[in-house]
Amino acid sequence: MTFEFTAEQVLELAPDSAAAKAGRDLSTAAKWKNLGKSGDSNSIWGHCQGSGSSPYQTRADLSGPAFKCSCPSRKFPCKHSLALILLYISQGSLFSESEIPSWVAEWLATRAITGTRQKRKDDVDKTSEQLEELLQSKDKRKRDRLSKVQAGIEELELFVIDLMRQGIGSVKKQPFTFWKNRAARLVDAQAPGLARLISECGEICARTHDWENALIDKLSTINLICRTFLKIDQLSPELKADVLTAIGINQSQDELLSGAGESVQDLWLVVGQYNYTQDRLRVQKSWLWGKKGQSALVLSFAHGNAPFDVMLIAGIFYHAELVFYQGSLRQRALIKTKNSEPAVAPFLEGSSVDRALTSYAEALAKTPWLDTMPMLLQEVIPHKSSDGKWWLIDDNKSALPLIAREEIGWQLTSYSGGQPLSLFGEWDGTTLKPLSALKDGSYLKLQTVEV
Amino acid sequence: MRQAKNPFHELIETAILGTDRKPLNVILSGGDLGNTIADIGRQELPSERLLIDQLTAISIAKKAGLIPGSFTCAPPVCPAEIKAKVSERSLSLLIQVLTLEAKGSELKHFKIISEWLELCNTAQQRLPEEFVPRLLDWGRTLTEMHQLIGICCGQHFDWLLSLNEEWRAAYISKQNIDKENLIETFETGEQKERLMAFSAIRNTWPDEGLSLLALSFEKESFENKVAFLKILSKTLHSNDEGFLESTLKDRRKEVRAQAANALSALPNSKLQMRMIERADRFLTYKQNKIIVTLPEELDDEMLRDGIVENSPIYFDSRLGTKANWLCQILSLVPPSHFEQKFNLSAKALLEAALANSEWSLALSLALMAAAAKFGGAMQQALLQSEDLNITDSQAGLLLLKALPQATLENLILQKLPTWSQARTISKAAPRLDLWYYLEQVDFNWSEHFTGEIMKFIIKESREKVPVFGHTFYSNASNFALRMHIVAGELTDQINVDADTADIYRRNALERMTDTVKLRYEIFQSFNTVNHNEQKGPMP
Repeated sequence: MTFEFTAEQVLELAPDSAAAKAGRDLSTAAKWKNLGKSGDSNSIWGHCQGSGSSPYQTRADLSGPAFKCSCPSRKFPCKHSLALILLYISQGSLFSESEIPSWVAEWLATRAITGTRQKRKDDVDKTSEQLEELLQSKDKRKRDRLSKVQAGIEELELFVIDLMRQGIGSVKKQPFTFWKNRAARLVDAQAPGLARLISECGEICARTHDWENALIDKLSTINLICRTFLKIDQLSPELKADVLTAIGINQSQDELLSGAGESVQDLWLVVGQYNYTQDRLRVQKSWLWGKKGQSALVLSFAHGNAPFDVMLIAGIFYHAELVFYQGSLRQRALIKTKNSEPAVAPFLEGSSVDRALTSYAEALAKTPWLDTMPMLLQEVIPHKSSDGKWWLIDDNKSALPLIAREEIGWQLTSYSGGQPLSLFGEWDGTTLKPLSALKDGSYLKLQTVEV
Repeated sequence: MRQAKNPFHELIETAILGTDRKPLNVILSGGDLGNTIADIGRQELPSERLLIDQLTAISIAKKAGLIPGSFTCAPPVCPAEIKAKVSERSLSLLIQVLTLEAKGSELKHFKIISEWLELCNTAQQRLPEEFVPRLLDWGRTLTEMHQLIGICCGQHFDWLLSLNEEWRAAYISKQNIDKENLIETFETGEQKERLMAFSAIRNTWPDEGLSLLALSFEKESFENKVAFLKILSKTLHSNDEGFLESTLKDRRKEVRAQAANALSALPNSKLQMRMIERADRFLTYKQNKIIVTLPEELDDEMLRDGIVENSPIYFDSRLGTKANWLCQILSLVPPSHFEQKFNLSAKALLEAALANSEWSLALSLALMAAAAKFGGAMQQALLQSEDLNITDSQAGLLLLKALPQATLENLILQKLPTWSQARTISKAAPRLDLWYYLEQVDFNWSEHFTGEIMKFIIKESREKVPVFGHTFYSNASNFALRMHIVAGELTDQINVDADTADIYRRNALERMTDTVKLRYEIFQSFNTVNHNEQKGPMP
């Protein structure tokens, strides 16, 4: 049985710092009984005495990792689950290879069934007429939505035209509700993607400097999406998918998983990851980089303290089959199957600064409203210039500006020691947000705070 | 001649001002982007539509055509590291301490991190380079830790300092100091820097330190005067007497009291002589009893010598103001003076003092303060006396604080059985007293002492009515920081059962065990790596 997570990586799964601390405190042998493991199923388990009369049954599937505990905590993973894995990391010898108890076997069986579930039962039971009817009503709903979106976009175009007439200088002092109300109208028009872009305009206006160019860029993006949508019937299927995604019309995950999306099997490294909150929803953005050079974006969502729907750990390799969303650029993907892969880290090939910029220009040619693009830069050295700005310099002495807090800049500098390293980040057309660095087979996650 | 504006800037200006105020009249051509914009401009559309389309073209072109920056020289390279990195476990524990910062726990972090660094240094290991900046930021103002931080950061320490001006200022200037720099800091620095500079000058060049202080003393605030005198008191020399005598003329009583305190510690100083002369007027010995005559007034001479109206050290509702003056005077006279004068042993002198039922309290307080200051046989006499409760007064706590750590530990261990069996021994010490005594034992408790105290705590944690009180609750974390690391092996035996312990006791015991465990885990994390076969020495 192999398991290569570090304690820090496991603690990143904790829903909050209190759970992390409690998990650490519980990760001592004295608190646990009947510890066991099964190499075949890659699972561990144990009994932890809590405040209840009977001990809690805690089990974990290390290939996910996935957890289950009989405690009443609403946090996930709970402190007992975290403690079990932390104890396994620090004192693995306490876990003896033994027969899987029934309460673990049942859970593993349930997981296996859930994993292999292909099609919902209610779909299977439908007759062909009923299915045809369903399809027609689905098409009608789609048409209705598109006409709503069209109305919303026409109204938005008028708003942008008005802005050009009055000048963007006139909106600088507008309250945030000016943008919020406009965004709300787009939500009503079922175009949440455009609503988000409009909200971002409000955030840009709140800046004290360089807001004009940023606002023009954002309005340009909105203009592009709107103009493209209005010609949707003339677009290629890929560009059509792109523009619908930009507007916020999601592709059906079931359809993608059942064959509509392109599937890629590879060894993937979770090369960059950060969380942020959007409309009271917690979002985890995970960038994966495949051994074959393909990148993929996996988004996970969660409400409150609920766990993310997809559990990925930064710095870990997964043998996984990904299914990409339709579009000109293969970027966002779903995970169809995965196993954690503690194997030797393969060399991930990045690119030079010039090559990365060329790739970005090519991507813009395909999807001009592209928000951010992942970049894995190879053989670059972080450097702080005399004017206090952070740069990444490659061996051709070409440099990209970094947007990073001071502590991240210095952490990166110290990690490199003035020697070249590989750096992964998100490029937004003007600056690179560093998310991780790779050097001599080691991985460093940079703690990014989403602004 | 007016220079033509960049046409792209013209468009942006129009966007900011609006087409109402700045009509769109720029037609560009030339180059791919210029031609594209010109083509857009030729369409028969409203000018606002043309403007946003042209801006969109510029926006995309700007992103797609970004020219990377260029640097001519490469940044310097850090020399190769010689030491191995600390283990994942050691690092994880350090991060745990650095991350879980709570208000009011600075001492805990300081102590545990310094212990971690000591262990790292002993193990000849280093912090992984990616965590060096975080530690440098943490220790920026902790000058006493700088050397250890430097060692544990390996080659990256000097290399990063060469790149970061703020770290350089914080670390290097205080490491490589010379006399001139120190004098300059003393003369022009911030208050904290001035105190540190004076302390450094005084330690290395005591006479220069004294001259510097004498020159600036009059202009200092009274807080600074007191602080500088405290530093001066740590390295007293007979040469200092003249200066200290002059400071007795200061307007502020706090300054005079501090100066008097320093002077009284100088053997045979003029102030000590004056105090002895005064004390002799107030104390006589007759029929195995010390006879007390109280001072009538607080005269100018006494005020000059640092005697204050009411010293808090001798505050007791049973004592009046004049008794307080007497206590202050007697506390500045070595008890050995009275032993010689009355030809009594320390024990007999104490008995004679306590025999005066009217003034026994004042005399015992004064003797405790004097014994704390001057040491000698009176210390043992006081500690062994069964008629005194040392922890009842500030003077008594001063006495405990002044004892060498080994003496205090032995004293507590001697008393421990009486605290443990308080219900069966009739003349036992008050049981809660232990915690007052423990408060006075500073850091680094000995292994044996720690073991005995832990056994006591384990035993008490299982009692129905345990001896833990408020002093234990408020000091639980501190005790855990002071204990020897061996305490970590015993924490599991402490009963913190939710059913039997009240919430205050449980919280205190949990705080204590958590801290001890953390320290023990840190120790083990280094010990496991370095001494796989045999257990390494406890720090």
